[in-house]
Amino acid sequence: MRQVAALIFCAVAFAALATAQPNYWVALNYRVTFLGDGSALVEALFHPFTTDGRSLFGDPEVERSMNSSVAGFANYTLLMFSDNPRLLKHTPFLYEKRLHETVVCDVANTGSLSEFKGAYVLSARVYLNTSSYVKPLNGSTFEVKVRDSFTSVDVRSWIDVIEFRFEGAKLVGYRWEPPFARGPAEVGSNYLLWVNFNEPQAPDFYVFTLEAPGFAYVGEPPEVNATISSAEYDGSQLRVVVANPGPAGGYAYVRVIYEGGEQARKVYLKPGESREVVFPSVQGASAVLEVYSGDSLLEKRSVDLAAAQRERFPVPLYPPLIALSLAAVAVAACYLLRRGRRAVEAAPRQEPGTV
Amino acid sequence: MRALRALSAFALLLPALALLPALAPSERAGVAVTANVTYTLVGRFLLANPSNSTVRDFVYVPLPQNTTFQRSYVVSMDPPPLRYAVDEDGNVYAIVQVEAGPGAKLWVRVEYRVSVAGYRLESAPRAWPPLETVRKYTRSSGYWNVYNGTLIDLAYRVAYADAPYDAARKLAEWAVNRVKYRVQFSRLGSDHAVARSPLDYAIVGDCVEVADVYVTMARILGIPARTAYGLLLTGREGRMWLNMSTAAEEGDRLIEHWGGHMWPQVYFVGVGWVDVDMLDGMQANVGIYSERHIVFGFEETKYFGSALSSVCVPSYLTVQYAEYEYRGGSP
Repeated sequence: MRQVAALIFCAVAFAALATAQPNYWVALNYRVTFLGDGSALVEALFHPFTTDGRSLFGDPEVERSMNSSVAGFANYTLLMFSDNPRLLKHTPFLYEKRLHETVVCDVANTGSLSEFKGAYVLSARVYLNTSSYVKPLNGSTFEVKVRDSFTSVDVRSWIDVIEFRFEGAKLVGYRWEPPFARGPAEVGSNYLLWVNFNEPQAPDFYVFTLEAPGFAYVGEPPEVNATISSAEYDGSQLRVVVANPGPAGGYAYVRVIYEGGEQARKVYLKPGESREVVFPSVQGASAVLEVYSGDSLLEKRSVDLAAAQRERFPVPLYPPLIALSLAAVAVAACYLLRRGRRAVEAAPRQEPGTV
Repeated sequence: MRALRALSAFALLLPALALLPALAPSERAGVAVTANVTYTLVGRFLLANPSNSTVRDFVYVPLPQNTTFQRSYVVSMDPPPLRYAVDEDGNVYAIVQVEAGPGAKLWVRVEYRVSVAGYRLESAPRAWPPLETVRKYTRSSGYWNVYNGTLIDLAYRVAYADAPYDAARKLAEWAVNRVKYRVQFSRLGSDHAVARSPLDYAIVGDCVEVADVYVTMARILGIPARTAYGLLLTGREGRMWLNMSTAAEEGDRLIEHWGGHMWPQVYFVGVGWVDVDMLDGMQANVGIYSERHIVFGFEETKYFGSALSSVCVPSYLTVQYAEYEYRGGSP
């Protein structure tokens, strides 16, 4: 059983870039265990050291500095599984000091790993079915991409050593990107271990096809429960009113698909708020309106553009028409009345024998 | 309008030497090209080894990118590049390997040929993009927090409009009139770049903060937006330099001799990515772009932006000094 995991992040540590903080680097090792329920236990192990390789584990000032960086490290960890960490479900992060762990790092960039005893460990369980880097394939089989979020953030950073374990989740296949990066240094029956001595040979993405009996894809959860209130077409523009009757605010996507194209707009809706979205140059006899939030399709409705056009002035046109009709009837009635009255009035003036 | 961090970055046209005759940037429907200039751009970066041991290091060099309005290639690089690579946002950069003894210093020198077209948008695009484009380019990130309640309220109050161009324009007009310029040495992100004054809001910071606030608010309004980074030249010919040991002390005077820059772009259907450099002349320049820009890269999807927006990125060595010399002429 390998005692140390292993991901080493050989970068100019965050702290080293901040002038107000002590100048040190951090060896960072990760251990990622894929479980049968479709989640992954992620453990990040840190060990601070000086530029000449002296351990700073237990140094009070460095410890304070490390503690202040925990939120940042947690974010980096989530970014390994999603480009939208806000919507990735996970258990609360646990941050602890473990004396028995070992962290390895190529301290002087010489091509050999040094071992450091002791680690600050940050761990959490990530639910992969809410990850934007997961692609469901067939039932409980899915592809998951694990990004080297350190390279993504800072091109000179990389994971030196990373261990993936498969406990309950069955590994069906694996690859890495870019293809010219190096493959795993060790391949075991239930683990893969990458050792990357420099950034150019380190993969940017580790890609696995897994089978996990408990996996059920969810995608990004919805932020709001939005609905279409009305749709009105004037022969070119489609005006859609979208409302949020729910108690939470968030973003919704309004999409229209029509003959020869589609358009979409993202809108923020506060609780109880509604907003009008206008789509110009919408053509054809009909269109389909969709409202999404996260990955969830909240509503889908067909719109008969011809009918919508005929009904485009239902409220403003009818009252004038009614008023006009009433006025016309009134004028006609007045006219007829006056004619009748004139006829009546004229009658007495008629001399007998005239006309 | 430029900042230390926004300095540098750039893209390359790999061995696109063969494409030299086609160096002039292409035109695009709905856009009028206002100028064409081809620059010879030479960059020099001084690196130092602060450690007591010999270091073999990889140095990441951003390169001028190829875009609709820019064509570029690497003329020479010393030391020669080990490899060209592409980041997640499609930006091409070079990797150079160097070795430095304890306390030693060394230079990295690059020469580019870059053709840039200035342009002006001729029409106001009205259609909204497809769903996948909207999803990809309106996400929240570390520097562009689209869930910030203050920015949501502001964006909808000052710039909500039926058409994307109208919204982008209103937003630019609002932003450019609220810039409280101050060279900033660490990126604040839009959450911390908007300050409330007694009467109004202000965007405090340099080009990076202005770009971050604009991109965040555009994304809040559903307009696909990103940042471009590179250089803003002061003319056809000149030199700019940056001494890392005195930069902080110089403060706002830095922009007198340094042109590292960042600015927003928005996506319009039928046109593509359109520049919105409000700090070039302090105007709401939606689709008005001068040929004095050199693009070294874009930030689109990365959560914490791109480290390639720095002039030159060593791993173990430190950058002490950087300079660019440029000379422009007709293509």
